[in-house]
Amino acid sequence: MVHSGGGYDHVSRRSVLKASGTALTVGTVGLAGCSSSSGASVQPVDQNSLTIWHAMGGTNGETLQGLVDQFQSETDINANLVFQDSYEGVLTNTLSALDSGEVPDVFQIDSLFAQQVLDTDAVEPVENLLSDDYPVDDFLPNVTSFFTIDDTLTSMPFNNSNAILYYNRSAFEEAGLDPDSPPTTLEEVRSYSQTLVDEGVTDAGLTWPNHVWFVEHFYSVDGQTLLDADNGHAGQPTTMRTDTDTARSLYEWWHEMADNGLFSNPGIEAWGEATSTFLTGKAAMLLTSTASVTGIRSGAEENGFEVDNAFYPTIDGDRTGPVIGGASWFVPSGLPQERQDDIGSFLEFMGRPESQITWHKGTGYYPIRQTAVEQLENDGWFAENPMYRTAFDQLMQAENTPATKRMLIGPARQVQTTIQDMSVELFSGEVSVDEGLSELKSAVEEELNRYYS
Amino acid sequence: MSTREVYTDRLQAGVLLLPTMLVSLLFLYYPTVRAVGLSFYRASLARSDVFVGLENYRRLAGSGEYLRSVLISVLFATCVVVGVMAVALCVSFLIHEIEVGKGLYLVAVIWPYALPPAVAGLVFLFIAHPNIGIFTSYIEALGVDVNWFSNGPQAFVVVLIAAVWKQIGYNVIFMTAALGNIPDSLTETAELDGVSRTQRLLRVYVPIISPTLVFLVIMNTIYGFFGTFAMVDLMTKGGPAGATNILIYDLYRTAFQFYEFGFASAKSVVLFIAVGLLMYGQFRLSDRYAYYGG
Repeated sequence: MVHSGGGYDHVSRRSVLKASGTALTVGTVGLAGCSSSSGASVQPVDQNSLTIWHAMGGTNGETLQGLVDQFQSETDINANLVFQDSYEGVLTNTLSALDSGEVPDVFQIDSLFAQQVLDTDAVEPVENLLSDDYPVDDFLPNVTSFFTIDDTLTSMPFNNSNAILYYNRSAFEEAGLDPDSPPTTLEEVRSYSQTLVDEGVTDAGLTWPNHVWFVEHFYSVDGQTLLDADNGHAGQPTTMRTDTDTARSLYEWWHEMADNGLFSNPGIEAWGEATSTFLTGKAAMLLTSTASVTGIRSGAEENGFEVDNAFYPTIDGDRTGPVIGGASWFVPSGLPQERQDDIGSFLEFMGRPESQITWHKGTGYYPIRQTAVEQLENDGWFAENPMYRTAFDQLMQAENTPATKRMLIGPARQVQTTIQDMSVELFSGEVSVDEGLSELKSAVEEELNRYYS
Repeated sequence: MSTREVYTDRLQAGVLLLPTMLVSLLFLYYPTVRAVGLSFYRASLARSDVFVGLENYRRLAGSGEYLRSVLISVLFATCVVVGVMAVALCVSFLIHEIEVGKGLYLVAVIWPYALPPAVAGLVFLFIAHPNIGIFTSYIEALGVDVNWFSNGPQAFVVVLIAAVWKQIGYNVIFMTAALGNIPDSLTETAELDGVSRTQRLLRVYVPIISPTLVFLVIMNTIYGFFGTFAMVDLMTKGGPAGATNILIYDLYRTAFQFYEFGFASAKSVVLFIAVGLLMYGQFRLSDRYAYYGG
């Protein structure tokens, strides 16, 4: 990257303008941006303290703060957590920060946006910051494989999860379904849903937030990559694989479910609404994150029903495995060595088994160290919490194939939006499956082509 | 339109204008100029910008999605203007006519306007949410299948109702004020001549308050195009399948979710020109039809 002369003040003002963006006044929309991506010399936001940008709200945020407090008292390194509201918030602010040269020391990036951040060429692979004897082998391979690019651990996995099927045992019983044999395929999900609705037990069978992650799951569980070039892990992808049985089966089923009122649509990226639909008994099954176990269990208790979970449904019985979701810690490049050492200590602290156990128990995200998992096992944690057992089994039984590494692409947000928007047209029947899939394919191709050209 | 010179001292006038000028220059004109410049680049965050000439505009011209967004915005803004003004005129007339509790009614009507758009959007989202909405079951009891997360036209209507509901208060403030200024003698004359209530409103009051109505048409047009962003963002995110993807939301998404600043700038320039022309047209029309006295 060319470092032009522009002093720090100048660049920073530009990027502030860029980020502060849209001026909505009488017909004027001003998007001020910079016309060259010049970087000043990199310096931390706060010289006296590590600055960590994250997107963990609520109790997850409190658990994170607890860990950071512990880190500070153990190491005497100051660390300041800054909540950025959402993954999108962290991403936007991080990209502006990398542009301006005044950077946070650590930032939490959703795995979906990993490539976009890597494309800035302004991040340091975390492997370079960890001490040589740090047991990288102890990480769960199914988790780290996504974050390892060209054999280098580029970012530190931290809060990771998969999607899983939650179901309402009480509703199953009421409808005469066996709560001990939850549905495993799309066809079974459909027939279970039909029974639940026919018996008048719930309004709909199944719900899940319309987020690309679930489409990714249906593909990966079926052993298929969503995009060519191994979902972007083996070069730049050019297309979405829509002319497959996987895609056709998925969308035909989805449309049928919606058409027959068996699928309840909570809306695009509507995580909270999907969970409420399930907890208020409007739908008897829910696809959502394994990190929601605790919340869903207490929610079900409040609403007076028994809840359980099962593996993510397969397209037709064959099961490869889920894709990882959640986020990891990235570090900017170009910070002074002492600073990097402090950041290294922070990452090591967050990744150590004790911290991982605290984190898992506080949030439901996977512990990512094998030692941590064994420890939890020995403490009887999984025996006490069978829903975590199921979630963990789903992860551990997954084959490690290109299909189980989620997409790694620069224009992730565009492709995500395209897939989500087009999914609505497909399941609502506004377009036929064939027509919709080919439209989806060309729209995704256009986005990929534009970004990489 | 007074031509009376209040300030003979140019320097004093300049000093008084300076804050406004500075703010406008810095936050309005400068970004506007930059937006025009940026529209010729492929610009993103933390990636180097590339000059692409008219490529962004060419992409816009060839985009069916964008054309659809234009049509939806125009339709939406038109419905907002007509809907808001029709309802507000009726409500204002009723408030104007009523003897008891005028203030109470006025406050009740203006209340939604006092809400920030984001709050109004959220309130409406949870009132009409297809699964967990407070009123959804009652509406469904009437035989309507509330399904606006999947059904485009329904989503359009729901956002439209929310947008109209939010803006009525603003219109009522101006309309009741204008109605209040109508001389009582005129009302009495009309009543003596046996003019019916509706006729009195449409034939007597409306022409007299037409300057206010023109002003409101313009404000509501701006609102329809720009002010409804928060509701779209919170309620539908432009969906389902682009059914509520009005230009301002589309623009926001391009810039702040996709980080395609160059393309977004091109969109903003087009939107600016389109709304500018529309305003000009409305002013021209109003000169011809509005009654400014004399």
